[in-house]
Amino acid sequence: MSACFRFQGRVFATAFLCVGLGCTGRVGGNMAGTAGNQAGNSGGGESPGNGGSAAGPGMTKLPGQLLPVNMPRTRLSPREYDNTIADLLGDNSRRARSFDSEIIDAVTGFPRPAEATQLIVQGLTDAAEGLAVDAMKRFATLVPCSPATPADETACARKFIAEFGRRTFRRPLSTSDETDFFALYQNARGSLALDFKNAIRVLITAFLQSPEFLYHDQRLPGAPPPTSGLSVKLGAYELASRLSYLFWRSMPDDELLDAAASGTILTPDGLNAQIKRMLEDPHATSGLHDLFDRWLGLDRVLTTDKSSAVHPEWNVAFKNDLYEGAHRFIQDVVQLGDGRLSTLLTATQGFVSRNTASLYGLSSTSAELSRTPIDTFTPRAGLFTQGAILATYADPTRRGLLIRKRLLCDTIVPPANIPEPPHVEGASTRERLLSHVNEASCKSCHQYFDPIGFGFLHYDDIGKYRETEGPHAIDATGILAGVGDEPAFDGAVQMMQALARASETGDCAAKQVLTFAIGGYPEETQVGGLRDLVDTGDGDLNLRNSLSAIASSRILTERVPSPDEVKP
Amino acid sequence: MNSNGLRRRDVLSSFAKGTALLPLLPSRMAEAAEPPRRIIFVCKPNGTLPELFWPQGSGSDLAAMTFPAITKALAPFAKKLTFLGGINPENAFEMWPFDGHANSGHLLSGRKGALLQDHPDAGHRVYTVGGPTLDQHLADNLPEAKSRVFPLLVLGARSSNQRTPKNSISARAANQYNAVENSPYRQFDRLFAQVTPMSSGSNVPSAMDKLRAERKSILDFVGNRTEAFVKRQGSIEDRNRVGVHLSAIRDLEKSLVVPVAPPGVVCSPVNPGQPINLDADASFPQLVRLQMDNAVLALACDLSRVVSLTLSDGDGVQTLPWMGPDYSTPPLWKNDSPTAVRTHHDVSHSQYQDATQTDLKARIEAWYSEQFAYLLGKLDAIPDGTGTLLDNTVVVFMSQMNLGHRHFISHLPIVAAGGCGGRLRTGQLLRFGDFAKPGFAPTKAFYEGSSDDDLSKRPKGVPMNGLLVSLAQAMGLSLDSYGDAKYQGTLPGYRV
Repeated sequence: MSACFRFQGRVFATAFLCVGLGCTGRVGGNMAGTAGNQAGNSGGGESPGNGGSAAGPGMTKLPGQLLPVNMPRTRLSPREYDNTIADLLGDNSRRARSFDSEIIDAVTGFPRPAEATQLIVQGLTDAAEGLAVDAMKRFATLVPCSPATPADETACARKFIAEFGRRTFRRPLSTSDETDFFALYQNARGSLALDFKNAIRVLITAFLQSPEFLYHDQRLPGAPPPTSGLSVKLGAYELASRLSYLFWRSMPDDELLDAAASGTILTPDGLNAQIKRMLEDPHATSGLHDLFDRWLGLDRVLTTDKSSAVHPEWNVAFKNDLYEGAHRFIQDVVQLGDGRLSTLLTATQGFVSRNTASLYGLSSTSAELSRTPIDTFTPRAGLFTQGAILATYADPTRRGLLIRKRLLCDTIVPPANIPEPPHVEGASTRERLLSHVNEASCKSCHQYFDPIGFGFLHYDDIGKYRETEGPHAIDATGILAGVGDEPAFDGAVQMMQALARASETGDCAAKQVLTFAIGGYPEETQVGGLRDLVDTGDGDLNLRNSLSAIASSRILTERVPSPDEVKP
Repeated sequence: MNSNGLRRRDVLSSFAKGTALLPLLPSRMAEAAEPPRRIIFVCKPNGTLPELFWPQGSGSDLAAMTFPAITKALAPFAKKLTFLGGINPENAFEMWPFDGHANSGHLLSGRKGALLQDHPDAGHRVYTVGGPTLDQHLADNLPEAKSRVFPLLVLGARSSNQRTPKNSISARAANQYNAVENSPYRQFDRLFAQVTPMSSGSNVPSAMDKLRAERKSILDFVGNRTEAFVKRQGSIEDRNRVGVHLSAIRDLEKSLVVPVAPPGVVCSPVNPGQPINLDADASFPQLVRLQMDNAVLALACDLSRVVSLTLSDGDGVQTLPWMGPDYSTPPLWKNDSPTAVRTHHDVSHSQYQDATQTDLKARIEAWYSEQFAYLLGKLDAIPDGTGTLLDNTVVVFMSQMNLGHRHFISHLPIVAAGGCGGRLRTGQLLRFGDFAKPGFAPTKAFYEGSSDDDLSKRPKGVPMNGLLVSLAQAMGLSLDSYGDAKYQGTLPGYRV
């Protein structure tokens, strides 16, 4: 049995043998088949054409470009649905999680919307019904008029359809859209014998189930199909929605829709003004949260359970503070600080509350999270040494895999038969897991990630620092195999500092941010393009500038049509 | 309803309160020549302790055998049970070695699965189902099942870990698992938004009728809008994606047009009560029973003839707080976090560690049997034809594996109940393969000395396909094989 492991962009193992399927392509562009939106499919002479080359460390990189990609019409994610409902209706009940779901994409590791099965569609129907009932409490703010006569009611219904429709569809309604919805209103008043208010409720229920609301597609009906496979500029409303879902994970606000209506968003100055405004808006924090939840699974700490006998402090409030603390830290570095990836990986401040202070050997009297140095009593360096990650990824194997897959973009496909880890009475974690490295079938994979996980051995399964593990001394030494000149480390601080310096980390972060933005793995040339735009001059990466660099580039403002969409 | 409009739960609770006192609907059994046949598949994770599962004694007559600790709760139903000893999911061996937790897709498909992808978190491989499962096949091919409001009801109790498909026993086609309804409340709403809850003769204008008309008008509208939206999509991939959405809307619409309750047997819906927290491990026992109630209700009201119910996910990683303090300690085998409270999965991995661990495993498996007994008791309490609903149903209770600690899949622990209207022989332990050898006993020593990995040490048995064919025939389909055509024929001795 041999490992199916590859370092970012190149095959490392000499005896490389894939078991089953799933590891036939390079990590770069060719495996994004599930999302189907890589530029390699673009055709029309736009394809960079060097997608198959491997640009590992030490090899010369071609100058990259953020070329446009195909843009599949996906459903809103559960979080996008909830955010959009909150902005559209002022309803914060956030109910999508109870009926909708996402699939973790096997290639990118990011969640993507599940197929709209009958169960999910039933959930959307139920939610629309319930949300519309609840919206009646905010009737006056949602309905722009208060009709006194039947004639007024008709005019008011038409006005409501046009105005609410524009916000729900994220584009103006066409005449035929308006006619359709007005007919539904008339039917509600007529054969269903409902009063004005309940007929509006029926309209809201229908709007919330309309595909124009549920899907990312703001093309105006009747727009001519593309005549060639060359990339096309997005329409003003398409662009407005792409921007708002990139930065806010929610619908465009009125100002953005107005900028689309006037066309100013299509000018470079108008676009940049909107990008600047959107990044300064409080909604931008939700976008950043979502990026890190998807990239690193930060939100999984909220559903992680621990034994109360061993960790009496582990409760909902504790988990919330770990989660919020991590996000406050990210915000502190990315939005308010220098924005650098290396800072995120090495900074020694954290956000600690009375609940979580003990994790870092601190005492805090404040129930609120506050910015505090967390390395005063225990060694810490950056996000990966904070409780939210260490408690979610609680053992060396998972911690090693996290670094390998999500921070270095290495590919790991496990062999078919995985025996259980042996239970050896009285052994230390390292001893127990070293059997991975002694047994050939385990070693072929585990040699690449367990040793990185051992770097975190000083942190227990909720992230508390320990000098020893029971009777065992802790050995947290290792080398970063396949990273740069393979630096040695003793403990997580040294390891994170080495990772922060490694160009592989920056390449991977650029790739992850792009994956978040476009929904599938980017091409090598696009990763290079983003790196060039946000390079700090010393090989580091500026995360803050990454999203705006993407937003103002062709990868976001244009799209490559699918071949079957083209009508020459 | 009030000016805030109609809300489904309000409507339902008011109607359920009212109808609880309504006279039972007249039984149609008097007029029908033959009661309908029904089938329920139930699956639970993590295998068993075979020595404490199989009735003990020689021969095949259950009445003369002793029910050991795990199946003791089933003893009162001995006459209506069939234990099936020596069933092997042969197709799974073709893909050996693989993770026994992922055996769900083999149980009812009778086909070899396919490797899908690596699990995003851990090293476990994920296998997809190789074709439609028997529940789906029955729903598609039996006219009387197909014409029900719900041709197939796919229920679960915390089974939808959507990140891996290994948790569903039901699929409509290769690689396409059926969505599982894990909320008993939503399921109840769905069942009874479809029927007019009036006994025959009563003509009270129902709030439910109005709600249904409103829903129909909206779904029509949304369906037409979605159809136009699909047509506007230039790319085939997009068109297909939204097309799935459209067909789901059309299916929902169809289920709204059934205007009257079928002149069923006993059909007195009871409001499932205050919602429990469906995600809390402590709620699991209530959740299981609510879903079993829904299954019984669906059959009793003849809303469905075919039900599958998956209890927990394929790994069974719930903690077991209702089982008492013995289960609140850290696990010996560490499934997830090294110090997590032990889960059903952990308990199973340690099942032969020592007598204490075996006892923990036996008690949780006995608990699962008690839930099965609850389901059987409910079915058996409802008169149907000349017998009970249970007599005209076959309920198959199974697990993805045999021994929990080794993911060992030979000799699956399977027990069926009910004779499907006298078409299946009950009251017996059917023995196949090694089980049929003179003096055989399913002891711990026998299985500890066996191995799935080594053909010469693999316990002998018969393919699961034979059971599927027997069940399909009992339900009224004429077929000689199901799934993989190389396994032909029924399970000897099961069909009457």
